[in-house]
Amino acid sequence: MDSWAQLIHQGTLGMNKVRRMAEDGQDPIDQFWQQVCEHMLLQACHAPQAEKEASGIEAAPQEQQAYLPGASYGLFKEAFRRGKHAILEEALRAASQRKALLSPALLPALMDWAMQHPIGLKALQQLGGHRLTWLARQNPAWATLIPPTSADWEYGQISQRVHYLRWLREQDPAEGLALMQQVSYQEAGPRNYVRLLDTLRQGLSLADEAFLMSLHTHKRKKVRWTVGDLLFSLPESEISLEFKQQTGDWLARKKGEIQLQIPTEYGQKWLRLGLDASPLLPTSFSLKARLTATFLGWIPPQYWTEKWDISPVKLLRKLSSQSDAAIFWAGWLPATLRFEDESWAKALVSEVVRYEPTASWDPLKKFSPAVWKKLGSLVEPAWLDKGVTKRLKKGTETVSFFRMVEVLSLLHIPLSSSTAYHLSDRLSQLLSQTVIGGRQQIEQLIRQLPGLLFCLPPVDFPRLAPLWTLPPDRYYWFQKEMEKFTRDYSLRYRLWKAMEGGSSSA
Amino acid sequence: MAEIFPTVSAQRMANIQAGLAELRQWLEDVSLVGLAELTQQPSAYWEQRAARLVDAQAGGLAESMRQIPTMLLAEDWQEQLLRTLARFYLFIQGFEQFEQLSPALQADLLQRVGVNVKKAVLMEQEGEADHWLVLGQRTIIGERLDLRRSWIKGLHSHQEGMILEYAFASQGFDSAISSGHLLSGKWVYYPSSRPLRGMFKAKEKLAQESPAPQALPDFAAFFDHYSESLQALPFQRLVLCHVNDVRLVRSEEQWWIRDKNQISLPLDEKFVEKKGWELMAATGGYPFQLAGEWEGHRLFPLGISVHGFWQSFN
Repeated sequence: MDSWAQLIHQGTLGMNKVRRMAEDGQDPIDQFWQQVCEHMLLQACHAPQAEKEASGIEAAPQEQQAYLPGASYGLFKEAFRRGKHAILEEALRAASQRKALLSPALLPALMDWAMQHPIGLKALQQLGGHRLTWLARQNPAWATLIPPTSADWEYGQISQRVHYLRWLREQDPAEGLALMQQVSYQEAGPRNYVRLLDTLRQGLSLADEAFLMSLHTHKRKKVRWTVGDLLFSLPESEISLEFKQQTGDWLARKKGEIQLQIPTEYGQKWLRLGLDASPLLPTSFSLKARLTATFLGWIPPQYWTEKWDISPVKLLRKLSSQSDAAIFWAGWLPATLRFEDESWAKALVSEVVRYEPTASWDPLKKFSPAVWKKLGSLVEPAWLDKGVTKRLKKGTETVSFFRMVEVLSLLHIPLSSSTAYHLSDRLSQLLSQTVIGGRQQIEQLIRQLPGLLFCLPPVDFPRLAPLWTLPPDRYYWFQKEMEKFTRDYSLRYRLWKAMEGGSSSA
Repeated sequence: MAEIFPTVSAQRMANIQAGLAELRQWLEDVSLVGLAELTQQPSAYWEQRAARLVDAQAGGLAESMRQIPTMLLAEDWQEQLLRTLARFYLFIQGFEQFEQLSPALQADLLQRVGVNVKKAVLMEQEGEADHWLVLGQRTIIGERLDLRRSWIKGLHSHQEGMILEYAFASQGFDSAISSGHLLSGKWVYYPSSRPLRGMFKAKEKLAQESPAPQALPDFAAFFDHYSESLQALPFQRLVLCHVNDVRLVRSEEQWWIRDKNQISLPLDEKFVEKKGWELMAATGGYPFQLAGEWEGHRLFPLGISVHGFWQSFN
């Protein structure tokens, strides 16, 4: 009888090409199929040979920590499957705070997600325990999700070396700097050198200044730009102070108005360090205006309020009447985020709520949702809560109420239960009325609901029922949006409730 | 009580026999020109071949024909295709001796071509009362029709069963049967020389988590069981592989399940691609109990138990 491999070969080529004569006079086609069937059945009935050498996978260490309740498993799975990043971020943060582990079967989804949405090694370790470390060692694609070893630095790919250096900077910035100083630009190559250099962002301090200054005139633009980025991130670095001093002279307050007095020849030195025209302003603005926005973005905003002895709120209010306000917004908003200035963040939020949506330049529309979300993270929730409560008392049928809702939907700041309840109560009242500001306003409101989701505490789902028990005929145009909102809110609520249950064993 | 074995009219029997004769002729032609020629065929060719079987009132075989274009995309397409065609051949050979076969085997052949057993007749059967764990489910998304296989096991009777459902995409399947559910109810089998497919006469979902059911001790025992199945039904494609004390092993790109005697079975590539790491994470390198579909050369895991409780991989 032919072997299985021969039969496959013969079958693939066909009997016309592999000419064979039947030995016993039997029809060769029948004989072929008989042999295939016999082989297939014989093969199927016998277990394969045992392996002589038993190489297996070493088992993961046992966990000492408790797991999240089993009921949360399916919900996390759903959130990963549907790519609900904001819901996941919130739920994973909550799980990490509870010091409970995620079910092991969820770890691959968590690790794939964490590759795109970094949440930090500590948080990951908290969520995945020993099993996560063990799993990451089986799959090099996840190598950067666990604490590295010196072997990653010695023999690893560039991503592993970057991972090691960043981790070392987190543990001991001086040791990390010493290691970076040993890296040869020639050996690493331009791209890899820049990637390694960028890890100094972790634990950056004035102790790094001397090394960075030694590179600030580097022949490679990318190196210079990375160095500039790092040096300007240190407000007390020599170069930052010089930059502040020079740029400070270009801005003046005259009769309450901020005026730009940029010299014709300015800042070749700064341009060489990567301070390019601001991408936050459209090219319809002059190059000078866009460069000014960039420069402002690299100076701690507090510098201006101290220099002119004025509060950020007052400064921004005065600015709102200026025709070139956009230039300052495009500089001060990134600066607020970069230097994490809470008083400026509050002032920017207060000011943007006041903006007329019909204004020719609306900051809310010019900056991405991610920028507003980050700004929201700098604001104390209690402060915002107070503001919303105050605004709610003024009534809802005004343009400014809708503006506030629009801003809230971008900030993702959790409101207190009572404020959220009042807000959703007002929203559902508005949505159930026949015509408020017309269909356009209702449409806008419904489109903002997914963002508003994160202002409403997840535990209050049943209290917020009026929002999703609206008569369908009132919002039939937006049924899909409402359904999506309800589905997301429901997932978030169930996830929250499931995590609240008692923790379980594996 | 009505007769449980399905019957067909003389006219339908004649149609089926004519359709199978045509299928035999096609197999002969294929073996002459070679399987490689089939890779050149457009999907309409396979649809046409399936339609010929439907016309011959042997629609049950048409589905296997429709799956061939997907099979041709696999790395080992020659082997997979040869196995599929050989199963057609075995089936035809069986059907050619229809009159000499036992009523149970005749029922197997008729159901395979698509002759239905009336559910009302099945419901008249006594059925086996037990607590049944839904070990796992596998859904095959078709162009027109989705198919779902749900594998169950009795906690006391240790009987295995399979629920086969078809649904149009918009319809969805019976949600009362989900992986990991523990059901209390009476189970009846469709008539067969090797009963496997069946349905619940009555069922009720139990709230408690199910312990791991009894399984075979190793792969050697499983192959004994499989060999018995094939002796009874040579053209059978799928069986449940439910074995204790196995581990997941991995070498290069190949993933295996290895038993305590170091016998390894390869995992289905599609499973590895989608769920391999999930299985690795859930088992953590520890021994576990596994239930999976065995297709004769690849294992497709459906569910596992690592620490005594059942976890499914849908």
